[in-house]
Amino acid sequence: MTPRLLLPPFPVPGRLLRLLLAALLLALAGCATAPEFQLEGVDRSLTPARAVQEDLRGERVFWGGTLAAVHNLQDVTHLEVVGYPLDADGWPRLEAEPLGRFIIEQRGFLEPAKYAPGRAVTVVGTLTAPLLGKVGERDYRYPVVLPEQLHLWPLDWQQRARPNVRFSIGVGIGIHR
Amino acid sequence: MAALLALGALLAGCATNIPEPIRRVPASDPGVAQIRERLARDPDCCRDVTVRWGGVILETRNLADSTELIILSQPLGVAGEPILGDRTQGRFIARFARFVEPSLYPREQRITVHGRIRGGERRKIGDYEYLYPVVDVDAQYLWPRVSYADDWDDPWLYPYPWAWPWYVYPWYDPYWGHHH
Repeated sequence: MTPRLLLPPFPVPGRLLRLLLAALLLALAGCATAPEFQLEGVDRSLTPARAVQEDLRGERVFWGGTLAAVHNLQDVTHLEVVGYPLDADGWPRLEAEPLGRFIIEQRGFLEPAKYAPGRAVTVVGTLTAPLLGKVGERDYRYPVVLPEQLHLWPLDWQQRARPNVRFSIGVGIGIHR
Repeated sequence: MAALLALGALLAGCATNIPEPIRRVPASDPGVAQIRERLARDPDCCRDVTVRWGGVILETRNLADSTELIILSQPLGVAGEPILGDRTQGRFIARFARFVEPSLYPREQRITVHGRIRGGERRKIGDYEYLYPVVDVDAQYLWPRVSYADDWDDPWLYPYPWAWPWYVYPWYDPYWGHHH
C-alpha cells in the first residue's frame, strides 16, 4: 500500500485550506441530494392501475418508475413508464411489485437518448384523459399525467449516490523542509 | 522539488496527441442550444461560425461522398473531452467530406469535433421535426472508452482520460479511497 500524500508539497494558507475543504464537503453532500417534490393535495395511495378504473381527471399524483419507451410526437413527448412504489425520497423501489404503467405527456421535445428505456423517472402532476394503447398484443389503458415536476434520476443514483454515502478519511504524510 | 516538477511536466506531456483545436477553448464558444435557437429564427445566421463541440455518437451514416455523425452533445472538460451525464444541449451533425470507417465510430463512442457551421437541417425524431446544426469538421478526436472494470469504477475519483491535469500533482494517488 502506497503512502497517501494528501498534503501539497508547498505551504497552503490555513484559511484557504479550510475553504477548500468546506467546498469539497458541500460538493460531496450535493451528490446525494434528492429533489424536493411539491406534494400538496397528492393522494399517495392512488396507483396507476386504480387510476384507469374511474374518471380522475384533475387529480394530482406522485408517481415514478422505469421508462419502458419514449414516443416523440409532433408537439409532445410521451414517456411510457412502468410504475413502482416510491420511497421517502421519491425514488422508485424497483425491487417491489410494479403498480401498472402510465404515460407522462410532456409538451415539446424530450431527448430519447437521454430519457432512454430503463432510466428511472419520478413525476408530480395532474391526471388527464387516459390513452388506449397496446403492450405487445394486449390492449392497455394508460393513465396520462401532465407533469408539473419531472425528475430524471442520474444513472448512478441507485448504485453509488444512495445507500452508501461513504466518507473516507485518509492519513496524510507531509514532507516539509 | 525540481524533480517532482519535471515528473509532473513529463506526465502532463503524455496526453498531447489531442489536436490543438480540440484542446483549446475557441475564442467565441457558442453552445449547441444557442446555435439551434439562432438557426430556428434564421437558417443563414451561423454560416462559418467556428465551434468546438463534443458528445457521444448516436449514429454514423456513410453517404455517397461524405459521412455524417449524429452526436448527442455533452459539456466539455479541460482537455476538450465530453463529460458524460444528463447535461446535453441537444444533437448536432458532424459532417466529414470523406469516407469515415463506421466501425471506428460506433454508437456511444465519445468524440469532440472542431469546424464551421454549414447550416441547419430538419429531420424527424419519431414524429418530431428536429433542427440539427451541421458542422463541417476540420479537426476531431475520438476519446478512449470509459472502462468501469475492477476498482477503477468511479469516474469521479478516477476519470481516466480527462484526469490528466491531476497527474501533475505529485501527491495524486489514483488508489485513494479504493483500498478495501
